[in-house]
Amino acid sequence: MLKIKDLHVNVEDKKILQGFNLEINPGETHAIMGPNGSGKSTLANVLSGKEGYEIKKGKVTFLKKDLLDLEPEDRAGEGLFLAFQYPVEIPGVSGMNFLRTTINAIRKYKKQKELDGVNFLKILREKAKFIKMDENLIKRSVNTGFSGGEKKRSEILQMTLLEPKLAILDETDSGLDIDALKTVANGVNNLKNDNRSFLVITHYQRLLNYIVPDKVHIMSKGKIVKSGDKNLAIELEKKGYEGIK
Amino acid sequence: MEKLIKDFEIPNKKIETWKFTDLNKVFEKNKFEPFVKKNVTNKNESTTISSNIKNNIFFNNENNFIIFENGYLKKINIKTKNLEIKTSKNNSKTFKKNFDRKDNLLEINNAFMNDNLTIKIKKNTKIKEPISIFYYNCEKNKYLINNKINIFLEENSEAEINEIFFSNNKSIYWNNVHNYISLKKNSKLWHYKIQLESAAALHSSSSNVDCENSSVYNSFIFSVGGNMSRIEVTSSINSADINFNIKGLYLAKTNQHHDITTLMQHKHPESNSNQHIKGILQKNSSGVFQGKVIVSQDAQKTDAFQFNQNLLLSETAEVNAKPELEIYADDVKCSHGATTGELDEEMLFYLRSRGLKREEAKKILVEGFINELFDDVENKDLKKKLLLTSKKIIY
Repeated sequence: MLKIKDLHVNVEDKKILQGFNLEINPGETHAIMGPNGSGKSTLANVLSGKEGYEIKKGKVTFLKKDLLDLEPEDRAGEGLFLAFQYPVEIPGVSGMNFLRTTINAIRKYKKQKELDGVNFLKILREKAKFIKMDENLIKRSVNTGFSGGEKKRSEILQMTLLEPKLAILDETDSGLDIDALKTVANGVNNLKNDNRSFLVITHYQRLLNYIVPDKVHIMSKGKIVKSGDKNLAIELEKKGYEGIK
Repeated sequence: MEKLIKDFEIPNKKIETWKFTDLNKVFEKNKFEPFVKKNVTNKNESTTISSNIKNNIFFNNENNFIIFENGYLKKINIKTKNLEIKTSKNNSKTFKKNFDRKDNLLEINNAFMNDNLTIKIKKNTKIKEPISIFYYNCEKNKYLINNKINIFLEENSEAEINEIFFSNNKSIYWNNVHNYISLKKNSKLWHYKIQLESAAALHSSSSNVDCENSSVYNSFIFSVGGNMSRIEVTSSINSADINFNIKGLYLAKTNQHHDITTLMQHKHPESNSNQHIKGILQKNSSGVFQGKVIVSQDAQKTDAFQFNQNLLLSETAEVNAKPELEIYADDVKCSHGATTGELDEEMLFYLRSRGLKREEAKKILVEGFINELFDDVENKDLKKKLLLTSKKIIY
């Protein structure tokens, strides 16, 4: 599914990723944990195609395509989804209109028939209910005036609508209370299948109680320093980053 | 002796209120001559409505409408009762009392008046059907048109008046049209000004609004046409409980210059004014917003809000924003602000990460930028048409 080989990335001459390697197979859920400044969000942004990052070295293959060669919208079309750590507010653009446009943009990319209003609404209602997202919130401008939790819910709703092949969750758990955390995890678990993979970036082990990872990686200074199974996260919670070397 | 246009000083940069809009520059290039209709006595003149008017999306044969063609009244089609419409030969008096100007536009308007019109909405009548005034231009030579419209709303009356300025798109002219509006106690006017002049045209217009007790003025300025355009709104807020609202949008294409200039004169306590003007500037176009709020010493408890936002869609586009507050009372709530920027890269990336192409994402953001202005527009049909017109211009 995703293969990252010896990735080096700078931001304004500052080395952020320094020889990052990772391979995720179809159906796997990986978690990346690490202290602030270890390069977790840079990794997520580089994978989704955000500007402002200088790729010095390395290769990223996504479903046999050179990911770094693709425009952000084409990465989405190929099935990559990033749930943002800080989703941006877009005043004046109705959530309904946005969701329909995005779902159809991806369908168009996949050469599928676009959804008409009736079918779109049907699917939206069903998924929104599952995510426990208030329909009135969707009618409002995208993320505008949403609480932290509502923004994260909105990201998960988009993920369930777009049905990506690989979803990257960038600190989706930050700022969530326990109920919201469970709902978000539910959304993810419900999407899990043999062909879909997840990359969960988080500070805390708490989220991994609900989204159980196949592999856990600890990131420090721009690369993975230790990998293991879900128990590594539990060990980390006990000992802290200092305790794991 | 008959006056000539060269006897008048055309508004230019030397005049303080015209610092950013040099009308004279365009005037000098074209040397517009006041238009005078020939064969005025020709009784056989056709009153059929040109297909260009019929094809205008804002035109509806079933509605109330008034048509000016090249400055002259062509047709009045008003089915609604309880209003009076008249035109007079000697309606050249200016409305100077509350609306002092630092330029000659009104003098020019008076000296070369083509036709004028007075619309009076009678006491206690609410007119539901909008009244649309079309100013259509299709002459060949470079010409100047002058019209004046007086609108009187008597006590407890309500109306919607829409003015649509457009042309056959080949004509080169200067349209100089001024309104005097008087709103009596408890009256309410919706006033839309839709400026779709031809690409080579010069447009200067003003609405001068006298407001009395508890009256409401809701206006929407939609300025997209012309080579250079200046639209002014001046209020004289003379008593309490008045709500004076202006929404405005200028959408500039290549080489266009749009100017919206407002002056709110709060002369009495306890009234509100609210202005929200947005601009979208493409290619090497330019935009101007000058907004002045004067709150006189007696006008305590005034609530005045003014906001101008501009979106630059190219590196060569330019905006001059000059928001001004002059407050002489001490117990008031006033705020003003102006912002100018490009499309937000974070928003663009967010939309692209969801599969939208850069151009599609831009389109959505531009639409989002203007949508908010239309929130309060009560005439849904007009709202739809205005949004459609804006979309056509941006893409």
